[in-house]
Amino acid sequence: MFKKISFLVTLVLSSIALTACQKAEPDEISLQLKWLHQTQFAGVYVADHEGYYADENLVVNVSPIDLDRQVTVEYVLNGEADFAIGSAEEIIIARNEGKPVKAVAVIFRLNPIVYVAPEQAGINQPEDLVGKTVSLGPGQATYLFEMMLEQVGVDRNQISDVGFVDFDIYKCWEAADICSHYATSGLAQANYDGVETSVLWPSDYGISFYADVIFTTDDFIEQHPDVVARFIKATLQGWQKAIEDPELATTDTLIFDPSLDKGIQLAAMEASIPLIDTGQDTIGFMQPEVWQQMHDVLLERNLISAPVDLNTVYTNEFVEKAQ
Amino acid sequence: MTRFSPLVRPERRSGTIRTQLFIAFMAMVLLPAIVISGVTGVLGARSGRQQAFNQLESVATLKEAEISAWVHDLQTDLDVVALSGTETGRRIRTLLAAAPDSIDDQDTRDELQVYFEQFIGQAERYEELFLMNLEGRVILSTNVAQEGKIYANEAYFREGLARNHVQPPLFYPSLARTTVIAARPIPDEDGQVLGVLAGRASMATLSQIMEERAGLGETGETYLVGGNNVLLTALRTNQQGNYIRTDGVNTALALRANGSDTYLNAQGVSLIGVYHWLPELQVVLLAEQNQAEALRTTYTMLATIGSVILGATALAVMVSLSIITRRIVTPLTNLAKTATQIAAGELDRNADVERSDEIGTLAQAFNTMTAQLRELIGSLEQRVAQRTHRLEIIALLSERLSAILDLELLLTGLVNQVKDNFGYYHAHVYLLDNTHQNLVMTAGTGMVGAEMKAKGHYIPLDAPASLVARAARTGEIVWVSDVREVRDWLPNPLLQDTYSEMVVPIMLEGQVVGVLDVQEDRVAGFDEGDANLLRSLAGHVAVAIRNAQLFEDVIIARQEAEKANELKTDFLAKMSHELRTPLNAIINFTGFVADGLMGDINEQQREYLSKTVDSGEHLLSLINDVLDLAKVEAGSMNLFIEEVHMNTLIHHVLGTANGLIKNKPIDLIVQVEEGLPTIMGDKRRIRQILLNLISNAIKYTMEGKVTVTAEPQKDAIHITVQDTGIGITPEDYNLVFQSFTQARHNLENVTSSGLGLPITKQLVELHGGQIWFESAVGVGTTFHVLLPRWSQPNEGFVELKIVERSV
Repeated sequence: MFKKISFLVTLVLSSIALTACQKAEPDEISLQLKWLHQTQFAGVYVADHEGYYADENLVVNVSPIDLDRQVTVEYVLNGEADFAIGSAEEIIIARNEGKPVKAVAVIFRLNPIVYVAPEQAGINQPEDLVGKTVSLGPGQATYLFEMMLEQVGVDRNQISDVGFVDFDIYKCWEAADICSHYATSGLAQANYDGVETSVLWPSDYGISFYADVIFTTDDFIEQHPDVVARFIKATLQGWQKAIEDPELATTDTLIFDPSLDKGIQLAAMEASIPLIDTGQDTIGFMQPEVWQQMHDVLLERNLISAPVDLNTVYTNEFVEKAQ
Repeated sequence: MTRFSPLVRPERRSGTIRTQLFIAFMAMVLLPAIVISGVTGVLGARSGRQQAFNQLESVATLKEAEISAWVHDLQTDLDVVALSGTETGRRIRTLLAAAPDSIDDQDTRDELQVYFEQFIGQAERYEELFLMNLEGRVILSTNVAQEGKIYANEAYFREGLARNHVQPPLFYPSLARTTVIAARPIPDEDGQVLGVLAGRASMATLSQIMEERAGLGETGETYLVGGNNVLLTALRTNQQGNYIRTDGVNTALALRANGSDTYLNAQGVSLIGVYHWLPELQVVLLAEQNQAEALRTTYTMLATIGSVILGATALAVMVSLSIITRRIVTPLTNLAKTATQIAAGELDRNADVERSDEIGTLAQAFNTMTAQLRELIGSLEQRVAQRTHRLEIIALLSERLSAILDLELLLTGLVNQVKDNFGYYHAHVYLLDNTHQNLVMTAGTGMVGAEMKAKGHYIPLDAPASLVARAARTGEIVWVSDVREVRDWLPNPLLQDTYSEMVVPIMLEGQVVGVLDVQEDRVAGFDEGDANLLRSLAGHVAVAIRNAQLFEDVIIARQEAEKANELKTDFLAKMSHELRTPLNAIINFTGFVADGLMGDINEQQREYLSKTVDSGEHLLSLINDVLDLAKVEAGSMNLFIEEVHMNTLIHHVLGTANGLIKNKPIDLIVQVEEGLPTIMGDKRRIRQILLNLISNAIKYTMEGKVTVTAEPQKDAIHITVQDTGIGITPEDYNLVFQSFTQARHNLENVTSSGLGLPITKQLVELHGGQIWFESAVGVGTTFHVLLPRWSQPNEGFVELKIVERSV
């Protein structure tokens, strides 16, 4: 008799336990950023803090870059991170080198890299750059500058390049007439400070080049397609929220680095909105033409040794699933 | 006032007729009104909503048409500019065909520039017109800063190479604004495309169109939303953020279709909205209004209808009520009021009868009933008044009868009162004589009565023809409505007008002692009321007769007693006098002999003679006492009032009293204040009072003391005589002041007439004073005397009238 009862009790208890455990342990994944914490990655912070990741049963560990190791592909490839936010061209280059990484969403569909000069420098078009000094950052800042000059037929050699000087736009201007910077950073800072500027947008000269993309490895996609799908869904949801509520986005960003200046971060966030949501396609969606143009540019500059199959470079599968 | 208990105030329950009718009318009028209102409300709300949608739909349609026209105009403008046959068209083509850096084209450029600017200014649709060559490079623009830019990747360029194209509103970061761009190819004569003509239109016109919201009330909104949910034109209300994600927008974007719906905005306000998908611009046009406001007109209308219905209902009810009140309730209320007043005794009230309907009939019947009631009550009251009057007379008579003790006087008064007060023709009383054989006429009214009495009229008890005799024999009331119809009626020649007669026996302790006979000068002159009245009166007469007889007995007894008392007093006075004279002789002469005046006598003779003198003196004092008492009782004791000095008087009395102690071990103690006030009284009698009390005290005290005190009081002097004698037993208290009794009879060697205290009491009371005592057996007795001062010093001697005091 007692045995019967204890059996029943055990049964009931175990069924309760089963019910309690029906929600599986969350998937813990890591995300490597391409830079330090700032609203450039606001969608991630919003997704985390507003519980979108949790809703997808994810725990996402977000890491800012180690400034000594700025190639995000390496973090993903050596297993330090499951996902990373990196520069789009890195994926193509990595692929060319046989490294199996793949972009699953774009964040900045319009490249935020601009060339900013004080208004009095009188630089209103690329042709005006002749005889001027320029400070260019590495990577895209340099590629896009060169591409722009090529488009308008200005000789690169007529412009002296002082290289990277400083992230501070004002310090940069002390060394150069015009500096490469992010529209969401240096330009936003100048606008925020009320400083009149003249800006050269590469996109005005027929250049389409994705900036930040989210990528992972082929293996991870193959092994955890659902995790990728959930992660992209929650992250895009975070971005959508961020562009719709820049205040919230800024607040959530400051949770990750309270030392940031809220005013500038908010200005940066607001400047980011039209670059993320262009009004064409959904956010995160990647256009083949853009990838093709990027690919061609890299090939022209011998940054890749041979044409790369773009289907291996990116996929819209997860962005489309997220809709 | 007469009050009828059954007709109490009507119970106020839930409804007066007015209320009930009111409720009935309300129900009758309100129910259809509610149904009508309900149906109207539902239909009205539905049609109101539909109307609101229609309104929004027409607004949306109108705006879509305007936008469509605008977009069409944008393209037409480009078509006009690009016309190949014109000078401008030629110049455009020249410029596009030329080499990029050709300086020859400067004039062409300038002229086109001017033309473009003029065109923009005239059409007011574009903010910028620009030409792009096949590389997408802007080779000419009204905005010079744009020249040199390359839009090869832009959709409007790629599309514009092939066909007329309108680029939906997009935000251009380098320009920092949203614009619409129209583009079209520029072909040469062979159809070869040379470039693209494009125009950039600001959102101003679209905003203008959308921000015109006439006819949409306070909350109406019309706006455009881009494909990415971005708000493109301004809202009236401050919109948080630039994205619109209402159900309306989402549905329109998802379906790319038109429609209408009710949904909430970001603030949670319920809207009704119409959305149109504008394919040319790839945007959604929305026309919305707060549901509350959109339906307000409807609600207002419904409220108005409701009010009208309610008003009409109220009016109908009021009119009905007024009619009900005037025609039904008020008459009924008046009737009820009249009934209440009548119930309260106002019998002269009449209900108003002004109508011929049921209520009129009711009032009529009511009045008839009231009249009957009034009559009934009137006669009733009359009868009651009559009866009350009679009762009052009886009471009066009865009072008088008991006061009058002379029977004949009494009966004569009675018959006269009865006749006068009740208006009878004649009344008389017969009483049975001592032989119980004859009924003697004792009292009769008027001259006839006096005459009959003077003649000593009587009727033998066994007289066959006499109603009086019959009543006396039977002891029953004889009531004859018409005397001429009965055989035993004896006509009285002195009373020729007698037509009806009532004879009531007067019974005393079950025996007939007489009859009360009343006569009327009309047939049926008596009723039950008379019978009751006379019966009652006869009872009173019987009592009065007995009273009178008793009184007569008492008077006789009293007269006899008084006579006997007088004889006794007279006898006593005479006898005392007759006794005292010889006794004095005996005492005096015996004294002489005892004193040896008549010759020597031996001791034994002396002793015997002394005893004879003592006994004689005792007998004399006894006789004196009896004489005093007799005088007092006979009323012949006179006081000789003078001013008495109490101190002196007490002093003299004590001197005498000391001699009374003889050889008894008694202390006579006197506690008398000096200077006692004088009193007005008979000195000799006061002395007698004190001496009696003191000698009494000494007499009944074997040893101890006798204390005399005297103290003045306000209007009197209080004298006490206290002894330590044998005391008086309580059962003897009543005997102390009675004549010829000796309360303390158990005491040997005390000789007393028993008259001392009665006489003392009489004397004290003759002075208007009081005497009482307190005593305890074996302890002693204290007599108190309170003598009023009666101080009238200037009037000298006053002889008091002695009031007779009955025994």
